[in-house]
Amino acid sequence: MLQKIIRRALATVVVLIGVSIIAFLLVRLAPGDPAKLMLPDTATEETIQAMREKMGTDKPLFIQYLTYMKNVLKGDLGTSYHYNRSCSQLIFSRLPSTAKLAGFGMLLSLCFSIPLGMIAGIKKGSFIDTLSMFFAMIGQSMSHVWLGLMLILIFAVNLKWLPSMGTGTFKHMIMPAIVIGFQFSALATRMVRSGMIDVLQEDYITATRAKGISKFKVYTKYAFKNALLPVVTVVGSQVGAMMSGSMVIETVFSWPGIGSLTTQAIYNRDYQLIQSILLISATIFVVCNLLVDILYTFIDPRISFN
Amino acid sequence: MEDLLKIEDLYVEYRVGGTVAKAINGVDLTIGKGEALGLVGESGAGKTTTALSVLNLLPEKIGFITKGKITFDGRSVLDMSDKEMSGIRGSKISMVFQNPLTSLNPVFTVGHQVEMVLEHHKHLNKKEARAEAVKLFAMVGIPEYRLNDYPHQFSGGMRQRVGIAAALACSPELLIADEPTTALDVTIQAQILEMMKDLQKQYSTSLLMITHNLGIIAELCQKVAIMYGGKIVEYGTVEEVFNHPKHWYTIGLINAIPKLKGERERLESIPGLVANSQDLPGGCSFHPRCRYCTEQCMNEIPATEEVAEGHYVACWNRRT
Repeated sequence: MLQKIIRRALATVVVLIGVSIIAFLLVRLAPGDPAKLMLPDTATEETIQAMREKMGTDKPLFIQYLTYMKNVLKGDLGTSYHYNRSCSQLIFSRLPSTAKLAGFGMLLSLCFSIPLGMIAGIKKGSFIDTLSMFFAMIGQSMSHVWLGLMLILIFAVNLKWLPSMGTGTFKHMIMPAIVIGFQFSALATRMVRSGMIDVLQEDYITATRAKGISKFKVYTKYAFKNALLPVVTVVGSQVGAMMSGSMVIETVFSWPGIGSLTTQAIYNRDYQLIQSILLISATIFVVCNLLVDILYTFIDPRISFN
Repeated sequence: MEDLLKIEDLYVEYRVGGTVAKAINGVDLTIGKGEALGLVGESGAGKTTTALSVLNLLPEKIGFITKGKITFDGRSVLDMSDKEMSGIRGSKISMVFQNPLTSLNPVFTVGHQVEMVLEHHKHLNKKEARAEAVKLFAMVGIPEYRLNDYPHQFSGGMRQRVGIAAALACSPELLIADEPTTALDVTIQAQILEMMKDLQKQYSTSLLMITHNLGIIAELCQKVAIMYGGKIVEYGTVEEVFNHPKHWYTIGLINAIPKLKGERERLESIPGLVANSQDLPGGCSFHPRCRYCTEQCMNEIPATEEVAEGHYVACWNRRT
């Protein structure tokens, strides 16, 4: 088991090397010279050249990449040209905010979608079922920006119940968390529902009922664990995505997380920072998936790392 | 002999979308205490539906008991509350399912699937339930160290043993075995049947054995009921029915068994297909496949008559 986990983790490292190359190249493919951006418009060609040398962007890409990776392995993600601070410092100061938002958003959407999906699946064809499927359709097709703005309009501008931006109190977190979890709730509701419908038709459910186990316990324990399996997979990829920050949501709510940092870094053409964010986000994403894979083997004994 | 289970004039329908399937059309059946009854019929004859009706476990919003009465131990099953029914299922009446590959929950250990019965009905705590489960597994020939394994780690035969251990956990008064060996290969079939026979004697459990294998009936049961198109067409002791079958369907079934002695000839079969429960033929539902069909057979549902002591047949033109 442990051996298998290690093998899986090693595969993850390969993925990350790939990610680092892509992140590195993508940023450099974008037009614009960062050395010029660092200097005033009046700078001479010589000054620019000197800046390029200082930043290392005059060297061939391959050398630049190797230097970058060498530093990354030493724990140095480089310095942001724009902020003149180390990238790791910048990223890790933003990470807790994003993690808090992602965690709360995920929790909120699971607390909502699991019961709703279960009831909809058990009472297939009922009013609740129709309602839940309507919600799932709306939820999956609604844009984050629109939902965020609507919430701000209703709860911040008109009702004045919640602050429209910033961070600090629990109240600040409610709206962005709803927006971040909304689409996922819709997806999860749909998955729990269809999982429940499938599982309830299985022979082993009839067999469990034939043992005298009450309907309630069959639903909440014996069918639930089976219906949960597909949901765990999507939770894994979603947690990864949420943890790497949502640019749109964090910008709409001025939430000081990774997402808004990314947006700013792109505006500033802050090469070093963008590529470090990409690398860290990808790492978080991949690690989350790894954790889910491990978790999966505990929920479903039939699955092993093969 | 005292009656343990009595099914009277039972009608069951399955309704899916706009179609109605008449799965059971007036079944009468009695099982005495300690008696083993075989229920025989082709797939789709209504055998499993009969079994699920006894447990009141027909699929919700699909299966409906439209008429009839089921009495277990003097009490009407269909009038019981959910709670009462829960108390009976798995303890007084238990069931072994047809397909051991699908009737165990894949994400719980086999041990737990037996322990949950004990915890529910005997109110044992986890430790006591485990101790009891170990005994039950030993009885069906599964060593203790395998209790924490999952169903996918077991072969079909071993899984069916788990199913039987769970069914016998509370020493039921009635054991319903729904084709318990159909999904297993022949040598494993023999082992499982031998085991069921021993256990049935040991616990003096009544048995409702559902199968389409007449050999199993001859081996295990005292009484046999032949089912066709959701009706019992012939009923009696195994000896009487097998030696003096009167209904042409029963005769067809018996002739379809390969014989060890005598000349080898082509195996006989019953022509046609099993009656479609969504569109049952009028009169005797077997009439389109019957060589001895008369005008009356096509138009009137045959009445059940006692042709010898305890031997009942529903056929207008039975063999004499």
